[in-house]
Amino acid sequence: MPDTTRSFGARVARFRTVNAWWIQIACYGASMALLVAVWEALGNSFGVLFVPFSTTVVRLWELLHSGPLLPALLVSGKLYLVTLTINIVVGVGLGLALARVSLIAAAFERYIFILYATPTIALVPFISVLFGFEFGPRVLVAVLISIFPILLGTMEGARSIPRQHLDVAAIFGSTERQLWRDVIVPYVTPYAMSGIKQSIALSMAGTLVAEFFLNPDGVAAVLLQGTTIVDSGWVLAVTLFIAIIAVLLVGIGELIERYLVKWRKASVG
Amino acid sequence: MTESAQARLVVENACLRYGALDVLAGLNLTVGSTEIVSIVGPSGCGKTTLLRCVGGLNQLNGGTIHIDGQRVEKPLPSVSMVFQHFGLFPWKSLWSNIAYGLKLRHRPKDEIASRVAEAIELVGLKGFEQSYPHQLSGGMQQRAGLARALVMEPKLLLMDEPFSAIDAQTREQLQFEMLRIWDRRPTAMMFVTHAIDEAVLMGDRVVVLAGRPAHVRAVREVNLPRPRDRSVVSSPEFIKLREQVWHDLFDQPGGTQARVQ
Repeated sequence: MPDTTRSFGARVARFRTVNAWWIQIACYGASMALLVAVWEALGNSFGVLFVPFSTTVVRLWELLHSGPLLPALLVSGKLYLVTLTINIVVGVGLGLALARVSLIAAAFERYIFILYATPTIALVPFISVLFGFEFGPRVLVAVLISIFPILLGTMEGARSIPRQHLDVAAIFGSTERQLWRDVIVPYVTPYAMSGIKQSIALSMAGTLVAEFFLNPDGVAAVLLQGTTIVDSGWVLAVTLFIAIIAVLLVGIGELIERYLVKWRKASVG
Repeated sequence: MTESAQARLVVENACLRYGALDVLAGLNLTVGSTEIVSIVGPSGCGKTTLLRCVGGLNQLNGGTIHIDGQRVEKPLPSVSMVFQHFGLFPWKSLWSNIAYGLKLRHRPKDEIASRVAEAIELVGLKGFEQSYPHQLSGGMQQRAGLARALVMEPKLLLMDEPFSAIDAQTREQLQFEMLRIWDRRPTAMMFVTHAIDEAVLMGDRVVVLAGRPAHVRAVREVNLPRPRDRSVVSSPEFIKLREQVWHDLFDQPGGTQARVQ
């Protein structure tokens, strides 16, 4: 094989290179080890205001084993699941409607961008005045924070269906229903999935923000409790816990995505 | 040469305008029931637009298009089309892409299976049924595009620059395979291309369009014998026709040369 490592083509190709799984895992492991080492070193020099990794893990174990974390997780988990479900159903549905029905877009599209640009925190006082502090308004705040990747991703996908796909459907006599089944849904799925993946993580942030600002509850309340008593081990343990859950959930999302859009995986070799 | 009683496709006084832009201005065309009519013309002259109107994908502002006496206002089931960029659905396997039209029409499962298998055999894609389009070369993808159209057993086949996005060697191969397939199942075909050689090689007639608005500048009868094979390309008649079409395309009535592309 000719030596092309310095060519422009080779440099471009590097963007598409997929390394073996064990190399990827090794890189992940190395970055994690580095992070833990830095954390440990920082913790040892700062003392009580920033405890080391090892202390944090011990603290996390205590919080899980006999502390308030698991009951709180149940409370937050419920809010999270309801939020994510609403995000997916409303985000995909509204995204498709906005893309395929031009009058709906004309009526509502601007508001969506206004809402997107507004920090949801700024709306929290009004939401609590109007709807109170209970489960409903919490869901509303969490959804407002985390629905947009799905909504905009789906809309973008449904608007970018190539004309040729629609021509093919028309030439072969597709009905509207068949068009949705054979063209629109499969074409939009990767776009929606990419939004859903982002929303899986963002819904966690939304859940915690909603719990923080509307009558503290769930995992956010546990986090606040640690802050109030200035227990940095407590706070870091809860944060680590949230991070682990986020990584797991996004991983599940990636597996689902890989299954749904396996046709898109280009053969790179 | 085509009796009007036998004409499969009749385009009469076709007019189409987008705003101030005249695309088609009173164009007439007939295609016989087993005739291949090549349409050549410079890029942007409206030849693909004409094809899309015949396919029912675009609407005329004036004039009529009839296929077997039926007026075209939307895509008709007796018409199939092969697209320039193949138009395969990347999320469907090759088999599902080819079966697409039959499935839309709710044909019985065993009928779909046998007709799709036959079409796959015809275009030489056996063994690739479960591949996805991105795993195949451009030439193989267009074979699939061809099979998807042929499996419908169309009365009229619309070819929209079908080989222009394929590398030169594969293109030559596909041209002769297309001729071989047509010999086995002669059908009416409208073959839009910008390649003069291809137009002469495929067509019973070559219609030279000039635009805009698109109008018929010349019609050349191609009396080369069928079945046609590689030897046709070097025959004196072929070379003479190619020259004639070249002059039809590039010589302006005033004697200056037309700018192309």
